[in-house]
Amino acid sequence: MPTRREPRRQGAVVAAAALGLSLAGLVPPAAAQAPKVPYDGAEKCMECHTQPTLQRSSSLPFVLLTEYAIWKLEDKHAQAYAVLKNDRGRRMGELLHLDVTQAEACLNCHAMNALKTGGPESFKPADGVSCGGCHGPSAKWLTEHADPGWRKLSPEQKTEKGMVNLRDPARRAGLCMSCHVGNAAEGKVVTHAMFAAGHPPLPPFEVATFSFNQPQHWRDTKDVPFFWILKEVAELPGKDPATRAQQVRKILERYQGAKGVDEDEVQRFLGLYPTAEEARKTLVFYPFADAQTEQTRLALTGAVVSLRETLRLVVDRAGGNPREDGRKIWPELLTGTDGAASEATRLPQLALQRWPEIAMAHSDCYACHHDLRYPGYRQVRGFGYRLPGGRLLTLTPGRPTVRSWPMSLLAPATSFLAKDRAAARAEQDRLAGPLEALVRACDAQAFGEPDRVARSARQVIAWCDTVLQSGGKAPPNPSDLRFHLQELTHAGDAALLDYESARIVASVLGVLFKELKPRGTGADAAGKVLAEGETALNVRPYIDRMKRRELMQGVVAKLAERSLPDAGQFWRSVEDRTDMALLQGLRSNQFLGALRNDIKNAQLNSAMQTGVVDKLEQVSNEELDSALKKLAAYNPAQFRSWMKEIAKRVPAQ
Amino acid sequence: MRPARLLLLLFLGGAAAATAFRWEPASAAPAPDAAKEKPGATWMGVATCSAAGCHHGNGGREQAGSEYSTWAAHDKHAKAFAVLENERSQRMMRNLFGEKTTRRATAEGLCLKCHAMYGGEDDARGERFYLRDGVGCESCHGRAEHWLTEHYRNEFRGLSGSEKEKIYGLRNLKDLGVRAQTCAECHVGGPEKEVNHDLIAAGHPRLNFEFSAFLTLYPRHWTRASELARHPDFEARAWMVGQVVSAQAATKLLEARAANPGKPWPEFAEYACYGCHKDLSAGLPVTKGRAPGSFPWATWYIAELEPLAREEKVPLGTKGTLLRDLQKQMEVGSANRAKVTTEAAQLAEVLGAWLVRLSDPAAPTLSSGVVRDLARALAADGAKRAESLDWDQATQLYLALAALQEGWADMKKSPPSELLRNELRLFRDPLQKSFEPGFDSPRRFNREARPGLGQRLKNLDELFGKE
Repeated sequence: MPTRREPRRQGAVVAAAALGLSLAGLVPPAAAQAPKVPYDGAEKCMECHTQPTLQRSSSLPFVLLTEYAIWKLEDKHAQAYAVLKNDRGRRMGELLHLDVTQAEACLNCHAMNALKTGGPESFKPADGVSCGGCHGPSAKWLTEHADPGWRKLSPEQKTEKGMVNLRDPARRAGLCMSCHVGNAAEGKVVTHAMFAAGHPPLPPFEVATFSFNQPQHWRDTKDVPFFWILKEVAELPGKDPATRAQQVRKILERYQGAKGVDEDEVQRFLGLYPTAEEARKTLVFYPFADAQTEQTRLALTGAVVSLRETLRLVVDRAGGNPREDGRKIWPELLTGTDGAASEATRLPQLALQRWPEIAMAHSDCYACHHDLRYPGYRQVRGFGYRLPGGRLLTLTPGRPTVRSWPMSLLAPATSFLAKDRAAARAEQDRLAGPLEALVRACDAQAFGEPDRVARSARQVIAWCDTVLQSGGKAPPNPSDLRFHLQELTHAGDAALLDYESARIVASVLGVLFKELKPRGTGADAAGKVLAEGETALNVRPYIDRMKRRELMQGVVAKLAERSLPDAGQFWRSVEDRTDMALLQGLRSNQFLGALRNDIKNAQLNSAMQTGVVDKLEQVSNEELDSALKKLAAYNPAQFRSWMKEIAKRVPAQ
Repeated sequence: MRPARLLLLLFLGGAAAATAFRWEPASAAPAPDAAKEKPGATWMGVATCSAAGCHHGNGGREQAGSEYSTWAAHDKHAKAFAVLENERSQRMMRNLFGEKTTRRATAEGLCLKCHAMYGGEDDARGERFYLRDGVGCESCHGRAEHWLTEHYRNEFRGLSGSEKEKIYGLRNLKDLGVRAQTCAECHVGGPEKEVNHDLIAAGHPRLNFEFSAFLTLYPRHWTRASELARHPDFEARAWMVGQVVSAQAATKLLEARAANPGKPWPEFAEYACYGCHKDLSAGLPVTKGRAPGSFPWATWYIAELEPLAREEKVPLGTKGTLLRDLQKQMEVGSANRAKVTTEAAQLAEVLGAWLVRLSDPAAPTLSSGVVRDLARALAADGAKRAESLDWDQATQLYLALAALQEGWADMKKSPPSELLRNELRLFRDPLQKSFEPGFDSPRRFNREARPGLGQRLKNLDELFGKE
C-alpha cells in the first residue's frame, strides 16, 4: 500500500557503486545492432522532470516529476563524463596513451557513445549517462509520453517507439550490466590494462540494491499511487456515471496527497478509464500483480542475467579475435609492450584494435589482488567449488576463475524463478554439467583453457536464457519468501565464498528481508545480524553521500546566485518517495525552482567539469579506500556464521 | 656488519629457509660441473655419520668433529621431514587433493625430493637409513655407499676434491659453484623438484634463495676461517657465484616449465609475487617501465644479473640482449612456450659458461678495489632505477651491497666506516618494515620504503667511493 511506510533503508548504495559507474569499453565491432534513433539531451527532460508544478501535479501519482533533479544532483550517472576530466582520468590517459575524453573505449559507457547516430559533432557527451541511456532514444516518444493516454499503451507498444521497458527485470538488468559487467558487442569493456592504469574495480552488481542506492528517481511498483488508483477503480461496482465520478474523485483525492481534485481532472480520468474493465486492462501492463515480491524478483533475475553477461564477455575473449600472428591472447593481461617508448607509442592503436581480446573482465580480481598472509582465508577455506546441487569439486589452488559472484546465487535464483520446486530442481540438475565443465576448464590451466572455457560458457549462457524465458510467469506467494530466505542463507555454503560472492548474497538477502518484513524478536535479531553484514560487506549506501549532496547543492546556489535554504525538503523527498504530501509541497520549493527556472543543463555540466569534479573525486577516493579496506578485512567464516544466525532466527515455517 | 645483515636474513629465512634441500642426480639435467655422484648408490643414513668419535663430538658450531651435532641441534634441514607432518602441510594436502584426502605429504615423492634424502621409490637404502632424518649429510655430500668406509683413510685424504667426487661420489662442496648448485636444486628448484604456484597457493612458502645470504644465516658445521683461507674474497665471490648459479637454476627451471605442456602456463611462480598480490586499497602505483597490468617476471633471481654482467663484461647472448628478450617474452600475458624454451636454454648456457669462468681455480682473487667498484656500480645502477624497483629487487640489491661490503672489509682487514654501515642499515630497515605484522607481503613498500631508495643508493655509492 502506498500509504503504508516502508521501513526506510538507510540511504542508498554501496560505496563501490562509486566504482561501478565508471566503465569503459572498446570499439564496437561491425556486428548487427539495432537501427539508431536520435536521442535527446537531458535538457529536453529537464523542463518537466525537475519540479512538480500545479499544472502537472495530477501526474504525481504516476511520476515523481523530480527525476532530472535527482539524477543530476545525486546520481553518479550524471557525473560519468565529468569524472573523465579528473586526476584519475588524466593519469589513466597518460598511462594508456590516449585521451579518455575522446576515446570510444571510455565514452561508450561514460557518455552513451554507443547510441550516437551522427558524427562526433552531433554527439554531446557532457551529460554523461543521461535519460536516453536507459529509457531509450526519445525522438519517437518525447511528445507523446507526456500525454496521460501514453500510460494505457502496452510495454510492447512503447518499446516499438523506442522507450525501453525498464519494468522488465531481465531487460533492465541486462541494460545496467552492459556497462556494469561489460558488453563486448556494444564496445563496453574495461580491460586489465585500464584497471591497472587506474580504473576503479567494478563491484559485483546487484540490480535492486544498486537501483535503490542510485538513488532511485522512481518508485517501486507497490509505491506508485497510480496503480492503486487503477486497482480501486477496476474494483468499483457502480456503473452509474454520477456515482462513479464521485467514487473516482474520492479515490483520486485519497492518493493525491493534496486537497481538492478539480472536476476536469476527474473527467479526464473517466475519459481514459470509462469502465472498470478499461482500468483492469491497463493495470496488467504493469507488474502490479508481482508488486510485493518485485525487488526480490529483480535481484534474483539480475543474478541470472549477471552470469549470462559475464559469460558472454568470457566467450568473446576466449573464442574470438585472433591476433595478427594467429595466436589468441589468453589471458589478455596486457597490450604486448614492455613499456619501451617505441612500443608505447603504438599502444593506443594496439589497445583499440585489441580491446575486445585483452580484457581481464573474465577473472576474479581479488583472487590475485590481495595482500598475503599465512594462512590466508583462502587456504583455510579451501579451493573447492560447490555446484548448486551440493556436489563439491576439488580445484587446483591458486588458479583464478571466472568472476565468482555471478555464480553464487544460482540455487536461490532458480528456486525463485522456476514455477515450482521440482522444476527448480530440474533446472539445477541441467546446469550441473555445463557449470562443472566451465569450472574444470578454468582449472585446467592458469586462466583456463580458452576453447573449453568458451564451449562450456556457451552452454551455461543457453541455460540462463532458458531460465529467464521460463521464469517469472507466476508471482510467488509472498509467504514463500521464507523458503527463499533459507535458500539464500545456504548460498553461503556454495561456490567460492569470496568477498564479492558474500557481498551479493547479503545484498539480495537484504532485498528479500525488506519484502518479507518478518516480525517478532527473532526477526529483529536477524535484522541486526543482517545490518552488521551489510555494513561489513559494503552493501550500504555511499558513506559520503552527504558530502556529495553539499557539493552539488553548492553548485546550484552558485549558479542561481542566491542561497536556497529549502534544499533539505528536496533531499527528504529523495529518501522518502512515498510521502505524497511532501511531493506536493515541492511545488513551491525554491531550490528546485531555481534549478528549473534559472539554471541551464549546460551550465551545470560545465560547472561539474571544472570546479566540482576534483572535489567529487576526493570523495570517491575516500569511499573507494573504505570499500577496499572492508574487502581486505573479509572473513568467510564470519559470513557463514551470520548466515546461520539469520537462517535460525527466520525459520522456513 | 654481520649482525645487521643477519637480521634481514633471519627474516627472509622465516619464509624461505624453511624449505629444505637435497641433491638428486637422476633425471634432473645436471649442471656442467655438478657432482658425478654414483647414480643409484645406496643411502647410508645419518646414523652412519653420527658416531661420537666421528662427527658427533657434541661441540658447537664450526667445530671439527661436531658436524652431525651442529646439524642435529641447529640446522633446519634436520627438521625438513618433520615439517611435512605439521598442520601447514596437512592443510596443503587438503587444498591440493580435497577436504577428505587421505594422502600425506610424507608419502609424496614431490615433497620428499626436497624434504628428505629421496631419489625415488626404488632408492637403495642402508639399514640405518630413515626418511625422517630429513635433509641429512648425504643430501649435500652425496650418497655415501662408496666413500663411507674410505673417507677417513689417509690415501683418500690425499685426493683432490674433484677426484673424491669423480671416483667415490663425495661431492666437491668446497667448489663454490658446486655448492651453490647443490643448494639451488631445492631452494630454487629444477625440472624434477619445483615449487610452483599451485603449491604456494596451497600453503607452501615462496622461495627466495640468495646463496651468500643463506650461507651467512646457515649454522656452519665447518669454519668460516677455512673459507677465507681458500678465498680471501670469499663473501664477494660467494655472492657472485650465487647470483649466477641461482639465475642459471631459475632459467633451467623456466625452460622445463615452458617445454612441458603438462605443466601450468603461464606459471605464476615465475613472476613477482607482489606484482599481483597486493591489496588494491593502497592505490594503484604503476611501476614505471612496464605496460599497465603486465606481469613483472623473475624480479628475484635476475634482479642484479644485468649490472653484474655489465661489470664483469660477460655478454648475455651474442647480441647481449638475451635476458631482455626473454623478459619481454615472459611479460606478455600469454608468453609463447616454444620461444621461452629456446631463449631460456640459451640463457642457461651463457650462464653455465660464466660459472665455469667464475669457478676456475686459477682465476685470480678479486682485489678490494674491484669489489668496491662493483659495489659502487650496483648502487649507482640501482639509484637510476630506484623508482621502478620492487621489494624483491631492492632486497636483492641490499643483500648484494651487504655481501660486497663484507668481502671488501675482509680483504682490507679493517672494519668499514660507521657511516657506511649506518647507511646500509638505513637502506635495510624500511625493506624489513615493509611487512606489517601478520602479513607476508610488503604492504608498506610502495608508500613508505620506495620513496627514499634513490637517495640511499646515491649515498651508498658515495660512501663506498670515500673509503
